[in-house]
Amino acid sequence: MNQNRNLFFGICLVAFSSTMALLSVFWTPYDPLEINPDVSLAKPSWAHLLGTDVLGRDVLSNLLAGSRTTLITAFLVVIITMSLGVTTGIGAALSPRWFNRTAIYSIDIVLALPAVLFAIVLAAIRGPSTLTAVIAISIATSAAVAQVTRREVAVVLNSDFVLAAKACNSNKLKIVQKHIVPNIRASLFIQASGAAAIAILAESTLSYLGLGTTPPAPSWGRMLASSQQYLLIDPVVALWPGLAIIITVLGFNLLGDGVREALDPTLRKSKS
Amino acid sequence: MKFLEVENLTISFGNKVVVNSVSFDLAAGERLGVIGESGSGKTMIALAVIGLLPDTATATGSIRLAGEELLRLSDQQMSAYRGKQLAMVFQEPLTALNPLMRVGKQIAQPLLNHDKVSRKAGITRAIELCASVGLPDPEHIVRAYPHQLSGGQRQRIGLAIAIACSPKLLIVDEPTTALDVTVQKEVLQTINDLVEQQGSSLIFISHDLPVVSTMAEDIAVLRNGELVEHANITALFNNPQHEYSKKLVDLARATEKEFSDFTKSSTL
Repeated sequence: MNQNRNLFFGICLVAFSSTMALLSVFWTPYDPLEINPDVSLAKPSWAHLLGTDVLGRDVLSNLLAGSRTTLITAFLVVIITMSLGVTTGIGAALSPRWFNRTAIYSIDIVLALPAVLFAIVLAAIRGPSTLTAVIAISIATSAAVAQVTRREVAVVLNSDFVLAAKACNSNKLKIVQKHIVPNIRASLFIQASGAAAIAILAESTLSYLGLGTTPPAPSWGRMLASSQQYLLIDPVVALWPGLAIIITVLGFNLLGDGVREALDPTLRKSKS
Repeated sequence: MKFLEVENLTISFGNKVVVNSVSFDLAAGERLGVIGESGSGKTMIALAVIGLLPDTATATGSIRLAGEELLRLSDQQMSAYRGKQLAMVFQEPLTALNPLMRVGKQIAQPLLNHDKVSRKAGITRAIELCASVGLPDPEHIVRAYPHQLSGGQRQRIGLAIAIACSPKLLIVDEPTTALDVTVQKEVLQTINDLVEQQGSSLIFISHDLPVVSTMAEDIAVLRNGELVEHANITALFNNPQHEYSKKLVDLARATEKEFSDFTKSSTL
C-alpha cells in the first residue's frame, strides 16, 4: 500500500462516491424533492444531518441523489470520449499524411471553440438537459484526448523498438497490439480519469449556469447555484455540494495516477 | 552473382541526397565493415537494405539479395525477408527494446511471426538464444524487463532477437557505441562467434576504425553519402587511397601510439 498510495486513496474516494450514488437509488433520508418551508435553512441536526436548503429540502438527500447525476454524466462522458478520442487519435497517427493533417486541423478547430459556448449553443438547440451537457462535454474532451493520443502514438511509432519490430517482420496489427497500445495505456488511463474529473466539474458548471441538469432533478452544480443567493445568511449549505465535487474529482485524479503507477514496470518492485 | 549486390544506390529526402550512388557487393559468409562519420549515410544504407527507410525517403538504384531485386518489392513481400533472410541489430539497445514487454517475448516475436511456433516453444527457444548470446541465467533473464538489464545485456538481447530466425545477412549498426569498452569487447566477440557459427554474412557499421578492423575483412569508407574507398583491411591500412581514409588510418595509428607511449612511460 505504501507503494501505491494514489491508487489506494483514489479507489477509496471513488468507491465512496459510487456507494453514495448506489445508496440513493434505494434510500435517501427524505424525499430529495420534498419542500418543507418550516425548516428553511435549518442548521445540521439529528433530523437533518447536513441541514436544509432555503426551500427546506434535506441537503443530505439531495447530495446523495445528485451524486447519481454526477456519476452517470462522468461515466457517459468517459465512454464517449475514450472511444471517440482514442480511435481518432490512433487512426490519425496510422493514416496516410493527408488524413493525419486533416485530423490535426479538425481537432484544433474543435479545441478552439470554448466548451461552455458550445454547450450554450447546444442547449439553445436541444434545450438544457443532462444529456445536452454530456454531449457538449464529450465533444470538447474527446478532441483533447484525440490530440494527446495522436502525439503519443506518433512518438511510439517513431521509436527504435517499433523499427526493430518491423525488422523482425511484425505486421501493423501486431505493432498496434504489442507495442502501441501497451505503451500508451498509462496515458489512456490518466486521460480517462482526467475526463471523468473534467466531466464532473463541467456538469456542475453547466448546471450552475442553468445549461445542464434541469430542475427539479437534483444536481451538485444546481445546489451550489441555489445556495449562492443565501451565502451570507448560511454559507454551510454551499459547503456540502462543493465538498462533494472536490472529493469525487480528487478521487478520479488519484485513481488515474495510481493506475499509471501500477502499470509501469519501472515503478514496480521486482519480484526477484 | 554475389549474395548481396548493391548498385548505384541513391537515397534522398526531397531534394537532399543523403546517399549518392553507392555500389558494393558481398558474398555469402563475407563480412563488410562500413565506416563513416555520423550523417554520412551508413544507417540509411542499412535501412534501405532491410526495407525500412522512413516514408519520406526515396531510394533509387538496385539492391539484389540472391538475385532478387529488393527495392521493387512491396512492403508485404519484403516482410518475408525481414528477420528470416535479413536482420538488424540497432545502435541504442535501450530504445530498441519495448520497455513494457518482457525480453523473452521480444526474442520470441520473430519466431512467432515467421515460423508460427507456439508461445511456449517460442519462450523455450528464447531461453536457448539467450544462452547462445552469452547471457547468464537465461531462464531468469527472459522474464526480465529491459530496464532491469545492463547495457551490455540489453545489446545481447538485441542480438538474440536478430539471430532468432538464423538470418543469412546480419546488419549491425554501431552495436557497441552505447557500451563501455570492456563490455564492448565481449559483445563484439559474441557477434563474431555467432556469425561464424551460422555462416551468415555481416555488415558491420561503425565510426570506429579499430573496432571495424577486428570485425571485417573488407572496409567501405563513406563520406557525405559517397563511397570514397572500398578495400581490404590490410590494403586500407598500408595504402589508403582517399584523403579521408588516410586521416582515419593516421588517427587510429596515433591513438595506438599514444597509448603504447603512455603505458611505456608509466611503467618506467
